[in-house]
Amino acid sequence: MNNFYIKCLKSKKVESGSIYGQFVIKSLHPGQGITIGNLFRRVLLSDLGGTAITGVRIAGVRDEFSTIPGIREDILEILLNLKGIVLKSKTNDLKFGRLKIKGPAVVTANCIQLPSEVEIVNPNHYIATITTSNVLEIEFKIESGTGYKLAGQTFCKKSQDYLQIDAIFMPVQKVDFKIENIYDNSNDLTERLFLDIWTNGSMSPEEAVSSASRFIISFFSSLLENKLPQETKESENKTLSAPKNPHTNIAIEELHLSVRAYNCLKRAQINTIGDLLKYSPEKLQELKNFGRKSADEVFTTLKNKLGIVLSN
Amino acid sequence: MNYSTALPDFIEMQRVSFCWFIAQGLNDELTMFSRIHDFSYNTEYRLFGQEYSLVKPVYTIVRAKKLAANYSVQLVIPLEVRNKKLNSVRYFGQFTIINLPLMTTTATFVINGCERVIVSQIIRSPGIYFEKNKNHRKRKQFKSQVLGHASKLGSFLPSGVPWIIPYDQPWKPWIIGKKLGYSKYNSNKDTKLDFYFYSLKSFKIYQKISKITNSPIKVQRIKLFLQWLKLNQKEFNFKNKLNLSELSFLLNYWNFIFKFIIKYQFLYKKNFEESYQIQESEFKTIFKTWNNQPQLNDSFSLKKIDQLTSNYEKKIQFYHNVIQQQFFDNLMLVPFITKEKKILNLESLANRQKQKKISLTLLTNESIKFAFYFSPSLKEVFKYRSPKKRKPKEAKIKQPILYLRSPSKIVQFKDDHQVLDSYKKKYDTKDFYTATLIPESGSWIRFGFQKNTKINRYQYPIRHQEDEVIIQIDKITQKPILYLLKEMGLTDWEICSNLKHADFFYFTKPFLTGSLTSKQPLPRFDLHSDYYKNISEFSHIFDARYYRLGKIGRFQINNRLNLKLNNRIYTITYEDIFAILDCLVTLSISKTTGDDIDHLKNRRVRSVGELLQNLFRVGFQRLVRKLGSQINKRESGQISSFNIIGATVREFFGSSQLSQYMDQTNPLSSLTHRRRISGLGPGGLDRDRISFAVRDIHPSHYGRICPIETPEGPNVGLIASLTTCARVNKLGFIETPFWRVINGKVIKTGNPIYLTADIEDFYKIAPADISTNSKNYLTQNLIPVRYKQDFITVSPFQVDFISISPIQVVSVATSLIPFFEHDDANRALMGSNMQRQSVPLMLSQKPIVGTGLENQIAIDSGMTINAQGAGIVHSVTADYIIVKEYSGRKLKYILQKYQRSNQETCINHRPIVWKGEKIKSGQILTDGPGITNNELALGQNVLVAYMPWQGYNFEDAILINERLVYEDVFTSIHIERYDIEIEQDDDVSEQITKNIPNLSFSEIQNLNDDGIVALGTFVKPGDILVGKIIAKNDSEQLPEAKLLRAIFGAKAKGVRDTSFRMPKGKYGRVVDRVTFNRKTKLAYKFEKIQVFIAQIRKIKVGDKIAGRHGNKGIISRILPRQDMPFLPDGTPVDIILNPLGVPSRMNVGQLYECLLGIAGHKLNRRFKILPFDEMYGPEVSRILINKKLRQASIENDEAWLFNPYSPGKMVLIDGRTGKEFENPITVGNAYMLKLIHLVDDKMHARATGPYSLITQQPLGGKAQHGGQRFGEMEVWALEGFGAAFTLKELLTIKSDDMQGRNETLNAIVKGQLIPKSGVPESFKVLLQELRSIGLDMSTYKIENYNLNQHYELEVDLIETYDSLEKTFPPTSNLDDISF
Repeated sequence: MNNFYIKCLKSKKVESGSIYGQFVIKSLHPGQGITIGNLFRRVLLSDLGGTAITGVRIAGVRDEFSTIPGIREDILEILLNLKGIVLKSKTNDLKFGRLKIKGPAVVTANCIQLPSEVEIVNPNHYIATITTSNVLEIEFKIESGTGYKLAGQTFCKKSQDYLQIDAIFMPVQKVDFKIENIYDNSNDLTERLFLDIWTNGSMSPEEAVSSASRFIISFFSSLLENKLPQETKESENKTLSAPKNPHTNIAIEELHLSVRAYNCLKRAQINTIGDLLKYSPEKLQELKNFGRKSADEVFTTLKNKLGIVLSN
Repeated sequence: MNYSTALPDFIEMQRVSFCWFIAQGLNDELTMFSRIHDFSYNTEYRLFGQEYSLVKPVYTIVRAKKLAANYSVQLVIPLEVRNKKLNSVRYFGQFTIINLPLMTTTATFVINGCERVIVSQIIRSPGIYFEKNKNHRKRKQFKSQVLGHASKLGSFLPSGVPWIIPYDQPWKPWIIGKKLGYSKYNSNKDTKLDFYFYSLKSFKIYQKISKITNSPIKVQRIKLFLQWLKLNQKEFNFKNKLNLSELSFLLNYWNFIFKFIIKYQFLYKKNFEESYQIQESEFKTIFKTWNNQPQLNDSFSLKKIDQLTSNYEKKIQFYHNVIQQQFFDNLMLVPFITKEKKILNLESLANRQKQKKISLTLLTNESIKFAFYFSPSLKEVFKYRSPKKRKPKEAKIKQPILYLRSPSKIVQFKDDHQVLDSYKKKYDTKDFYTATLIPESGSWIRFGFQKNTKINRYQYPIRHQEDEVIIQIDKITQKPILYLLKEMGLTDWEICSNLKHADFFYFTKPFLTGSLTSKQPLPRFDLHSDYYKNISEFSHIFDARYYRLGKIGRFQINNRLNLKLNNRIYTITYEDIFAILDCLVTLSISKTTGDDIDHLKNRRVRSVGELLQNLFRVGFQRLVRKLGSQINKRESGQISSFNIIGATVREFFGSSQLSQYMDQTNPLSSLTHRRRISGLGPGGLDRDRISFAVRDIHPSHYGRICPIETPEGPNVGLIASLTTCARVNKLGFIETPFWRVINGKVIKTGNPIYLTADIEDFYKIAPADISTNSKNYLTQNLIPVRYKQDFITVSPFQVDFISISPIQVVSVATSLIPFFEHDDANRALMGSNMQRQSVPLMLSQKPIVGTGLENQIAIDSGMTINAQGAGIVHSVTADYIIVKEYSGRKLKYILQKYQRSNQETCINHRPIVWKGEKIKSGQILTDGPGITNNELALGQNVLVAYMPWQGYNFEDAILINERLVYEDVFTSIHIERYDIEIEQDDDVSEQITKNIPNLSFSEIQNLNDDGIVALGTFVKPGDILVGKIIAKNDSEQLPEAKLLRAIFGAKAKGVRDTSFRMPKGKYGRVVDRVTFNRKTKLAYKFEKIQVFIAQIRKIKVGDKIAGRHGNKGIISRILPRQDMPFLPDGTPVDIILNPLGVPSRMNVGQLYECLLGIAGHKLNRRFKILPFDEMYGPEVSRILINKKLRQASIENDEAWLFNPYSPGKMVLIDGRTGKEFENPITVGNAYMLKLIHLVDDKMHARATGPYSLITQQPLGGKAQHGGQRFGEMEVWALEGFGAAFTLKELLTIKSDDMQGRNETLNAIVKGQLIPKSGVPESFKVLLQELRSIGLDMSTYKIENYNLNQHYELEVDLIETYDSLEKTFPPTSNLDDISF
């Protein structure tokens, strides 16, 4: 193995913050070009992480289909504009940004006050225009990740105060590779791999290449170590452990409960004693239509018939 | 370049029409009904229609939309109710007649809060149309000449004569009629009877032959006939052999006798009846004696004949003298009398001997006489008329030869025969035509031919029937046109002299007869005066109240019939009828083609204004009828009767076929909807019985109606679209503009000339894509032109007009397709239709390759806000724009934010002007849905590759890049409305509240105190939108609760949760709530609540996307960007289409578009391509694209963009392997649309659910939460696999076995075994049906007694389901199942 190195041939800023870089890897064996090139391309496109705004909270706004008085854009438009802000962050944890501007003003990305570790790549990015003397106040939630996260996909309750934005973390926009055959003096065939990388500016192409390499290395190094995860063993154990309680598989019909209690249990998918035992007395009483009387009935029958006392 | 870029206002047609209605049409109607009387004529209602006023609308458009109200004005008219007896005014005042819905500036109506469009209707224009009868079998000449089967002659034979057709002894086949030839009378049996037959037959044959007009054939036939006679002489029992001359004499003799008898008799009868009543009794006695002769066949001996003849002779002599005395100077009679004289003379000249000789040869066999008697026409004559005819016949034996051979005689009697003969020649082989007169109001009147059996005896006697012209005003009511004319008081003479083809109705021309008595021409048909003595309902056709031609009708009729009647005569006149009759007869005999009803000169457009005008007329007519049928007793008057007009108007706007829920999917669809022309609707075509011809494209459609844009399916061709440049003229005919060409120079100064379809036919019109030079001269030597619906090539000097634009031919939507001249018409149709279905995207792009119409469509669509006046923008926010006009006025334009469209897409305005910007009048201030920067932008430009990819684009499926998802390329907003009604009547009283029992806090936390969901809440399926409770009534309560109530009073009433929850599969954010209140005595009560929910839908698998060329498909998979094939510069492709979708569909335009698209993308330039660019040379489109691609490759220094060896194709690299694909692939930037057929709206699943009440089978459809139909073919599949149990399950418990499915459900819930299925309902139905056709079917249950024996027990299947058992079908709600 001779020493491979990657050389940056070109690096320039294209419009709107995106950076282009061209690299070359020389003296590869025939066929290695495509292996490495394709690997690089796919890793660069899919596995690099980034930072993006994932949610905003705008003062006086409940949903994305409303407007703020005095502002030229409606909320959805502002959200779409915010989606275009490219952030550069040193850490991967959750951060918050803030924006408060009194009009009349044109709001661009550099108006956002961000924690020190976050930097805006395209500060001239347009967000909104305030026509009157109203105040626009926005709080941003900034997250890191890989790939993209769509707003509509999460139905969680937390989303209620934050309006979610589709977050695109992917820093690399476009990758292209080309392989050239080189015949050296001894008429040996070697390959030369050119990599063209366009990033969105949150990462320079060099960084992208190095982080891609790091990703690949960490991936393969974990393969080298080849630590089998312990979870599988645990699960095996689980399946092995036989049910301790001999009553687990007894149907609750055996208890001859009253109709009310029986219906309640059935509705809660409690079909066997085993299912029933998973419930604590408190939890049991939370069932629909399952009052104290029914609970008492269940406890007494369990105790009388099977000698089980529900605990927890 | 022959096109002008300025197109007319696209919704001008609608707006102008409505303005016309308000300004003029309404006035016309009001004046027409200015005085109305009640039944007693005591009360008079006077409407001062001229002084009507319109009161400003109560609701503005926006409020009307929001509150589900109408945008309408009050039409106020001064009304006076006057008592005529007392001559006092009972009521006078401004009276609101109706609330007239008002058209908005965008040519829509707001009815019940939603926008509606009144579609223009294309109907057959009033006027007269002549058409060939389609289903009328053309009478075969040959068939009519020869009587079919010999058996038909049976009726001619004396009764009781055996009539046998021997098969063993075949007749020598006779050439003319095969059927006749094979059957013969058994000659061996009875020669005498035999003779009757043959003579009869020969007579019939002769009769047929003599009718043949074509003389060579006639001669031939006669010859054949004579041959036949000769051949069968034996059977005829002629004593001597007949020679040819004798035979011909025989024939002529027959012929003449018939003619003469009838004619003579007619004249005789007429004169006789008129002046000699006394003689009639005498006449009758003779008749009787003659008639009382015993059976004719054998007892009529020669002796008797002689006796009779002599009798007749005397009579004739007598009458002759009488007649001569009486009518000596009667010119008409002269020929007959002289003839008569001659006959008599011949007789008296003792030619009898000679005569006898001949007659003996013929008549010794007396049977020949019977031939006459049995002839049906003769039979009648003899039955009712004088017996005298026997005489002349015998007397004339020699006469015919004399008469016919002398040319002078022929000239002398020419008139008698000429008319007849010319009639036969003229009309015998006519075609049948129908004339349809379409008035503006009133039913259609048809004029057609009908057979009439009541023929004037003047006619050639053997004919039984003759065609006459009838008039028909509805399906049943019809009568001969002559009756109508006579009924209206016209004399025969007047009719005859006014008709060109009078000889169709009359034997003689009136001017040939100079006498007093026969001043009138002789009608061909028997006209009993009874029929036209009274005036019938047909006279209505001359009444303007029933049949009104209107201006257009009069214009069209004058044009068609070359009449010069005053164009203010709006009724039908006699002149019209005479002209129609002449034209009808002329057409029938000339057999030219009738009128082309599909020609646009015969069809006119009825727009909103006219439809409304008609509506008012109907309303007022109803009012008149209503008022006319009641007596005004009370002082209050029947002013409330005027409601009927309002009801009519409301009915029209609400439920007419032409008042349609506006298609508001995007600006284009709403625009084309307003430009649509429907052939259906009241007064239009009926969808069930429409020929292909109506749906077809017609040459006259050129530039008027789009040949491409029409729906697929049952309405194809019936619903059309106006072309871009067309306009509708005052009469309702569609016009299209042309430039005048004089001596090869196109005159482009001034306005183009608009031509209607009828005028256009007379000129040679060149298409728009003919090149001209800079001085506007046509450059080509030969120019293809359209002329009289045909294509010819002429020199430039002969060209009269040239079309102004190549897109003149097509509709607005079609004109948006670039390169559509390279597309197959079917795909272009789909393309233009699918553009109307495209969903406005959240981020839309203008097409890189457009046609240049996008701008105007955006302006005219009415989905943007256009500046009303010039000025400077004062302030811009998301909700409003304030423009300070130069006049100093500040105008505030309110933007629509996230409004729901009719199709649940989102209407949203976004300002595109900036503060301080100068605004011109009419300038677009905002973006609308699908409109970006003043241009229509329905879709997105995406990178498309035509290649197969792992079979994922088999059968038009489409692969997309996930970029389209996360970059919101095809993301759209949909706003749904949920109407929640709160029932409050005597039975149920619902209440909305937040306090709903048995619900957790999280379920109600988003409800406000009234129980309505809060704005901005994100709702998921099952979430409560409106919390409602309903008090439980007695029946639902438990018995113990009832007992408690009985004991402790009525306190223990429970409530039931009837909250409105979000349906399955629906989610979104609450953006608006509207509550409708009803005021009661105490407080406001909610009546209805509308909740608007907006959702953002990203593109997903199952959505439908399409290009503009009819290339549509469903997304089958979303690929990560690294897996997508990528261009040599690393750009991954966005969409992969199947290349096999192109060749068979022949929509090559998509390839041109996408290649020019990528060139434009690389050059950062957009193209406007007008179709039909071949005028600049051959293959110009291809050359242009090559040029642009090459330019792009040079400018960007990207050599791969243009490969000279495979231009337009690029080497793609597989994103998964990094290897290049084997062959270069067509890649380009295509403009793709997301269509409104989204999976979210269609996906549906069911486990259990509702069942149909009657069949007990599961319901179908998503709306009913139905199941998937397991149809015939699916059953076959199971049968084929032998999946017996699956099949059984599907046919029983999963379908209509009520008991089975209940038990199954219970068993599943209880975890028991699933019981055996029962008997499905459909089986019971089958049994009953079999019983109903009389089969004794019963069902038995087989049970084993012991091992070998078993007994059968009859079971009544129908009764097995016990309704008292109370096992109801399971519902989706598990709570109701009892265990």
